[in-house]
Amino acid sequence: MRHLFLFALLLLLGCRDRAPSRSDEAAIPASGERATAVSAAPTPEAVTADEPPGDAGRGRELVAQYECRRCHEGTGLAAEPLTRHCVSCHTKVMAGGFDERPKAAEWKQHVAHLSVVPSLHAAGRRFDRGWLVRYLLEPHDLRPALTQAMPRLPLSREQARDIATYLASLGPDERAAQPEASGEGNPERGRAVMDAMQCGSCHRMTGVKPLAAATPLGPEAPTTYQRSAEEKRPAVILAPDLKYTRERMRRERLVAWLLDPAAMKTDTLMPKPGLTPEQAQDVAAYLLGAALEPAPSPAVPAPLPNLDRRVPYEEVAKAVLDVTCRHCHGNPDEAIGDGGPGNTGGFGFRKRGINFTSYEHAQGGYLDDAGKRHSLFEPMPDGTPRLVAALWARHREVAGKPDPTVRGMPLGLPPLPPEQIQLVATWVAQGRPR
Amino acid sequence: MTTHSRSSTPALVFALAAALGLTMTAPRAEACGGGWWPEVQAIDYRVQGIASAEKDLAEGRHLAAAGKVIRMIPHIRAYSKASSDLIVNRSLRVLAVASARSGGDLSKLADELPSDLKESFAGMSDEARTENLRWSVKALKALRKSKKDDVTLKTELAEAMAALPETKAKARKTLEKLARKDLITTPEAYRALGRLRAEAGNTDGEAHALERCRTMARDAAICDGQAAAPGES
Repeated sequence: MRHLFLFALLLLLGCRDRAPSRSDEAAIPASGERATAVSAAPTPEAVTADEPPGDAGRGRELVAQYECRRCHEGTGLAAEPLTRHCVSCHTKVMAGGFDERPKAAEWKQHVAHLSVVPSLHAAGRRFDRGWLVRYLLEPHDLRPALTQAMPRLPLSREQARDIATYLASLGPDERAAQPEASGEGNPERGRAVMDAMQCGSCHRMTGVKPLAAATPLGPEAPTTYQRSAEEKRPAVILAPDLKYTRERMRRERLVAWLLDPAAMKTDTLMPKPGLTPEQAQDVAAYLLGAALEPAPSPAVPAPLPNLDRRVPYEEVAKAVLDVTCRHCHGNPDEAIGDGGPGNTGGFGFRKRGINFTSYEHAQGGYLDDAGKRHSLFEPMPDGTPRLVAALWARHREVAGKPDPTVRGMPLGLPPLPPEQIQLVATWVAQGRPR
Repeated sequence: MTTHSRSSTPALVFALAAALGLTMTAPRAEACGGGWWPEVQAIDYRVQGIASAEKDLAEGRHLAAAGKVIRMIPHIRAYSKASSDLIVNRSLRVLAVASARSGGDLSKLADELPSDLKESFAGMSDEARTENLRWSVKALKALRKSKKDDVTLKTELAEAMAALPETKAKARKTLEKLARKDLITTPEAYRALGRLRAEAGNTDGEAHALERCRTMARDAAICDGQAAAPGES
């Protein structure tokens, strides 16, 4: 029975990769529209806004409600058992713990990205609270070698504040004495120190000349599974893109971190670099002040026209629903009552009753906030069926244009390629043939 | 008598020794409170069985689906309400829908039915077939009680109710409501709605429902009442 549950959980959990948000069905590009480039850069106001303090007690309750501990360590709450812990289960898959299962090799391709997840130990003490709030509301890719999988949770700003305040209250470490930030530091010297330390062996810093590295990191591969052995090292996977440092950390905390990372975060994989206080000031000056080349704006691809041939359900299920959607929109009857966050609820999401495990269930619609059921294929104001609109919404979220009215799908994963959306759109347009 | 006792004693000893030997040589064992117990790994083959029956049902092989359920859980008709065992519930659903789509006629499975059910469950007579349809409705209603927001179950219940004179009106009301919201989940239910509309003299509505049925169905022939799937004849 235990194995059955694990199997069911695997079906529910292991999809593919990446991050969440919402999007505008009215703004979903119509067929034939040209690709639109939109900026994904966070607005300076949002980054620097001073957030009023939240309620740590409520924050703790929210961390439990949103089930952060199913993926993250360091939440201040007891860890979930294996059957409910995404990372432990995925790690077991990757370590061959389910190799006797016929689909183990396939699972490995889908769950590799979630076998390493940053711990939240001391997150609230390291990071700027305003940034934490903003990241919780609109998570985005921070780590080049980690496939982003942080879902965009249904959080209000107040709730995000409460969580950030709770995280800040966790385990103050007496060793993390923060030195006086004396002087401004010299960014040129800082860059020289970083090259001498070969920070580029783990980190990228987008927008500046590549950092020197012992083993240069290769071009970014689309999925963690396809990355080189070097880039599968946890330290590399978890190394953030240093261009975000200026948004995430304040100067004095950054200097303290550079001097002794483990004093601030006991489980960090960042080695102690052995810097002098002056060198730490210089490196901080570079990280916080180096001029960054503007990043290329992510584009929302243009939709493809519907196919001329018949597209049956089986083809859509095989290409999209079975491999991407049913992990969260499962059948509770096949998983001891847990239909996944997109069906029976979870990760703070209310029950939506969406089930993609069979043809019949895929026709069954979704529950709105009032508990009323609607079709997944009802047209949005621009005529796009809701299901298709949600798939395009995900593209817009990744491009930094989330929409409050439609949550992009797949949640927390990369957008589907236009060819897959085309398949779904054609199937819907043809009347959803079995 | 004496001779018999003498010959049975060594046999008994041998049997005991063999049983002990089998226990001692079990390939895997776990210690428990200082004693040794053979490790038994229970495999619930019903998981594969119900998955296969559901596939048969989805692909139109109603009798095959019903047969698999009956072979797996011969006493299934004894369940009068949803079980805490989800596989039993899935089996109830498959059998109820398969029976309804077969018009209550499971006579081809008669040889596989328990003897006490053979008369009624096989659907040999009109009365027995009607009784089977009533059982389908009852079973689906029982399942609906535990899953009120399952629209697939709602559709299938309405489809089964459409086959009984006493529940046709309610079936039509339910199916019309679902159709308005584009929530009818099967082509078979559109077929049932088409027939109900035809009986009410709504020919345009019938045509529309049957058109939806033909669009959704893998084999449009099922919408015209030719429901036999490959291997079902």
